[in-house]
Amino acid sequence: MADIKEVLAKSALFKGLSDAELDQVLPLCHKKSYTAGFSIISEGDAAKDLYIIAEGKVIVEMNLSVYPGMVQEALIETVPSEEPFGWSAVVGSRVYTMTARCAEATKVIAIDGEQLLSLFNGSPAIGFKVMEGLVEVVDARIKSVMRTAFS
Amino acid sequence: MATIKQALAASELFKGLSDEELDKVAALGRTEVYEKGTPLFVQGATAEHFYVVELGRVALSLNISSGADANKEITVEPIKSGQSCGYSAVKGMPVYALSAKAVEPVRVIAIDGKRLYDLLKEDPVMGYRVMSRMASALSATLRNVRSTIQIFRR
Repeated sequence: MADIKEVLAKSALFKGLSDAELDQVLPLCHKKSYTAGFSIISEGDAAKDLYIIAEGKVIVEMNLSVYPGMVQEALIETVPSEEPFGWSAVVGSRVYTMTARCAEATKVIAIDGEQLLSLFNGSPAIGFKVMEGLVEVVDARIKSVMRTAFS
Repeated sequence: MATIKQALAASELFKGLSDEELDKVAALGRTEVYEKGTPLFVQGATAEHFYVVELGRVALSLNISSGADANKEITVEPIKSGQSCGYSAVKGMPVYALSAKAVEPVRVIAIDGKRLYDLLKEDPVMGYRVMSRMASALSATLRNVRSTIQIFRR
């Protein structure tokens, strides 16, 4: 697995950070490895960590209320390397809104959401750059979801 | 009629900002009025302005551009008074991801996206606070787009 700093520097969320800023994020990160099929996060669980994929692929799924009392799980999209998932750990209700399952053996960087928010509050310039990265990621994901659905 | 500053102070995105911060944002805004059925912006059009709804209701929708359902418009979420839309314009994304239309007479504050971005960037305390709220609102829209598409395809 590549060095954590190297992965962060290439990731959509952290690519705008300087070398010194990346060093401040590093102590909050942990490498984790999972086998194919493993669910890293589950919809409805308390959102503790934000994840960046270092190697592998993750499928995100969500539950849909098809009829009252009938819920089905729907495959939504595949998240590739260097992309984030689980950002409910730093925005919104702090509850995961998706289930993320490994499509293959996958290595991720898990970043503690509470600690990351503390870092942002102490260093808002870092917070601004990461949040603008997140806005960009989410905007791009809206466009790609629509392209995939109706192409 | 509320001033631009008052409307911004009451909005989800800018509430809690200091008087001075609100003044800076208000200086970039202008009031616009849209009749029922009028588009504020259209999916795929160049994203220049970001909108804060002061009064009335706007529908965010996606337009299907190809396939059997081409030209259909599906509502993704309502944007109510105090909420915002058109985030693509702030982060410099070239085009709007979705369309926005007035579903009743609406009054909005239109803000030049690039100038707002520059302001947020030069003041990271305000920038972080506002950008974080934008990320949160946009994430909710992504969830709504995903579920709208899944339900539509069933």
